Amino acid sequence: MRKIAIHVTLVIVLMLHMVPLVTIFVNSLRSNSEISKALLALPQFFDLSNYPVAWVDGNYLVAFANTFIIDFGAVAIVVIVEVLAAYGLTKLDVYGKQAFIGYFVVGISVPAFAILVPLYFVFEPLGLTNSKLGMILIYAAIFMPFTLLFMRSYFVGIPRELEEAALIDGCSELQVLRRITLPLAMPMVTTVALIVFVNSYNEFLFANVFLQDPDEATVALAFYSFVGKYSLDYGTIFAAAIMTLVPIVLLYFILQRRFIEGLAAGGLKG
Amino acid sequence: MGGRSIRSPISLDTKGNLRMKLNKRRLKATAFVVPAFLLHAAIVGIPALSLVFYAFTEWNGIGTPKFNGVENFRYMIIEDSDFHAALGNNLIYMAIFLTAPLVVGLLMALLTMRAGRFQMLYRALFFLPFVVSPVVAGRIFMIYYDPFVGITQFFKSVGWDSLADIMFIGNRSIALFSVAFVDYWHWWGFVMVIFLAGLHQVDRGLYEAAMLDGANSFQRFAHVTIPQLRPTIVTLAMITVIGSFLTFDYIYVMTQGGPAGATEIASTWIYKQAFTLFNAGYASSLSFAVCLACVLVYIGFRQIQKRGWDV
Repeated sequence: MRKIAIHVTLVIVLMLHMVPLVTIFVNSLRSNSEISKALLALPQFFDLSNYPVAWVDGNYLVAFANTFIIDFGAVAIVVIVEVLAAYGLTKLDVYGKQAFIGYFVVGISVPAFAILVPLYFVFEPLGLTNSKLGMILIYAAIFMPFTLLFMRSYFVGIPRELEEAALIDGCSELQVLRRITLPLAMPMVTTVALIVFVNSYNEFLFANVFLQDPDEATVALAFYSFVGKYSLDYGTIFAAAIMTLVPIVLLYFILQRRFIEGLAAGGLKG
Repeated sequence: MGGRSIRSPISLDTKGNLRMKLNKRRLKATAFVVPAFLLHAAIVGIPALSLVFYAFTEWNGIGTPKFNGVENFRYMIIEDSDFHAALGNNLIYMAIFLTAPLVVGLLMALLTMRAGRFQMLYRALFFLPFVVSPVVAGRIFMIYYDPFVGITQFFKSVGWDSLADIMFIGNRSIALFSVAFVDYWHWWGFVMVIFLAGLHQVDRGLYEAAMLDGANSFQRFAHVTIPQLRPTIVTLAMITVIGSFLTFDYIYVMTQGGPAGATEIASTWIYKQAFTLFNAGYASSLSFAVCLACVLVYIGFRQIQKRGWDV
């Protein structure tokens, strides 16, 4: 009896929780006049015509290309520099180790907002505004410190004995990292890559300031300006919303365990 | 980080002799950390430091910054009533997020714990809005809040007339809550996941001991669960307090601070100062003040965590 009550409560909350997402999807299949008459209703017939309109007028092809270049670039940089740094900070005798760790801890608490204004006026003359490279560098830097601490605590748990055996066999530290430590650290590398990817994909503040050229827009920005242009054409707005959400939701469902458990482990440690 | 632990190439060894030797092996080791450090310093560290300089200047963002002492801070503290009102809204935002998501998140975590083999499924679905882009959530909720096509039309059609006249965004006294609701929808699943992980770490033996002592389920909750979750609660409170002062996306995307400043918060005000009014100097002072507050809060919470709250 109690078990049933728990499930009933959970299902009710879950249904309410999902209403916004479900209505976005349902409404993306309805015409504008249908939506204007009743927001919460099933489609009269499945009408996919909103999607091509949103795809073309929202410049989504370009936006997806931009987003994937920027996000994969940021993920690649974060993973490379972070794996190296985590290895150095946990396994090697690094000069000023505590100072580096302290720097990254303070780096977590420096809000991204602090750098928005000064960075913009540095990047502008360097040609790094309206630039994918500029965004890659920004995302890699702002999403690095807290994921670095996740990575570091994971590396602590990888036994040094294994690595030392390889060192005795004549490997350099870099080879040990690549052949022994990195394969063992793959679960955390996946988690970090996911966190950086999702955060970069959804990031709005920096993209909005640094990417004013519509041809450089990311998907989040493309959606934002599309809504501005088509503010009363609800059907296509909902279709554009679905196109914006699909890649990240798919990725989430495939890898949600790594994502949630990685974040929870980091969150518990604070 | 005591001075003792910072090892520099110039130092006194145990016998008190001056040692000044760069060890090749240690230099190689340090090279592992340097790329991450340089990247972060170039993009975040140095600009954040330059913020401190710009904070004391009058600057439009393009020309040469003109030093003007503490004038920006005087204006900020004494005259800028818009900023004061914005900070007030940040405090309301903080109050909302220190209560609603924490209570709901904990409650749902406790229920989900008892959901048996469906636990993972519930967890995954409750967490889903956390990965939804704030731009999409914000803009779509603006349609739901629209008085002509939105949810109020649904209320009208089912005859809930008292709800049908609500102006979610148009009414200045509820606009901030309407925006906060979207952020809450996106956020509480994260809180739940953290609580769930915390609950799984609670030693089952403590509950058994409490039951042997005759504690009822509320007493077990109050005297075992809550104390055991205390570090988790402190961490979440820290994230909430800092997050409340930096929050930007939902407000900017939905109302840009309107109607008539009803949802203006520190970050949207800074954004306007920098990129609409071109007061980059003053915007830097505002950012500096807000960031300083956040760093202090962060240090404060770290101290709390160190001082035995991790029981």
